[in-house]
Amino acid sequence: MTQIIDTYKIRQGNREEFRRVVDNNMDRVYSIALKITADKEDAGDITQDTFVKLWEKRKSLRSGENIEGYISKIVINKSYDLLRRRKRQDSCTNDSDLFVNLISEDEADRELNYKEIAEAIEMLCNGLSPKQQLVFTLVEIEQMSHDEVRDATGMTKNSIKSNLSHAKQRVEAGLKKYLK
Amino acid sequence: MEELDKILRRIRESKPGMESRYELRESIMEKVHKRANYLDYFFAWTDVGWLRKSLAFASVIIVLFFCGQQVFMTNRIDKLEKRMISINTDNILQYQRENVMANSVLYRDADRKTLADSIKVATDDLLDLVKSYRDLQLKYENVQNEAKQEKQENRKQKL
Repeated sequence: MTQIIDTYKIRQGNREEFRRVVDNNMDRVYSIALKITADKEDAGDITQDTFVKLWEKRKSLRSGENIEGYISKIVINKSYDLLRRRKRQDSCTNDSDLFVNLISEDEADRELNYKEIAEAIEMLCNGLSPKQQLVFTLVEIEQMSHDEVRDATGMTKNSIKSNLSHAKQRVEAGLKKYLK
Repeated sequence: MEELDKILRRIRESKPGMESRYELRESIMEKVHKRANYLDYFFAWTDVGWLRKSLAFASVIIVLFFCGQQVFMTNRIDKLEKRMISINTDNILQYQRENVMANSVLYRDADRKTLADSIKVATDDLLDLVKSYRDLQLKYENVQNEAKQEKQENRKQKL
């Protein structure tokens, strides 16, 4: 059960309270980082960096501030920075069977593991720009509203819409190739 | 596109348990522990909201009080300087032999440089000094006159 977090205690450097924040949010942070970066190790590093940054910036937290929203902003920005840094390295896996399995009705009830999720996203987002990949992941996978994406990334609504539209076209075109 | 929707739905719905969750959490806490320092420990009280505001308010009051005090002191020093009288002691000693009231020189100019062996006294103190000197002088003259008169009377009696 998620308990109410006392931002006052965190501002004061209470590590037990901070441990609770880590416990409550670690899975969510890791999941967002994995879905944006499509890499398990990077997701782990970003999760660590996110909480360390939260600790360093704890004094700027205001009483009653939505700490989950604050954490989301950090993890999204860190993941986006990583996408931009590695945009020239295209080492996409090419396992078309993965998509066939994902679509298959026999496999529908089986839960995907992190590796499969990362591979599927990596293949879907192959060829997208970092911005397109970020917007696509946040809107289509994390199911965030355009306003939430705007608040988290600082992008304008028009930019979000155009990047999402281009991303969808590319993803669909890429998927068709795999499923031929 | 139906296939894309299926894939996205499966990705969304999958919530696998994180591998090495405990290690990751401990690694985060260890990094956080390394970043916490003694300054954080000793000055954590500065994060208390009402205390910060009170201290800020108090510091403004202290600065204003200091500025006001400086203005007040400068004004008082200006007034005191106007009341100061500089007297050359050498001159006083010389003039005392003749007549202090007639010959003492009073310098009311505060900006004038004084000699190394000079003193500064307030007007009231100087006036008291002069008055007491004058009283003594009058008594001395009276005593002298009385002595003269006695001598004259003695001479008359002898004659």
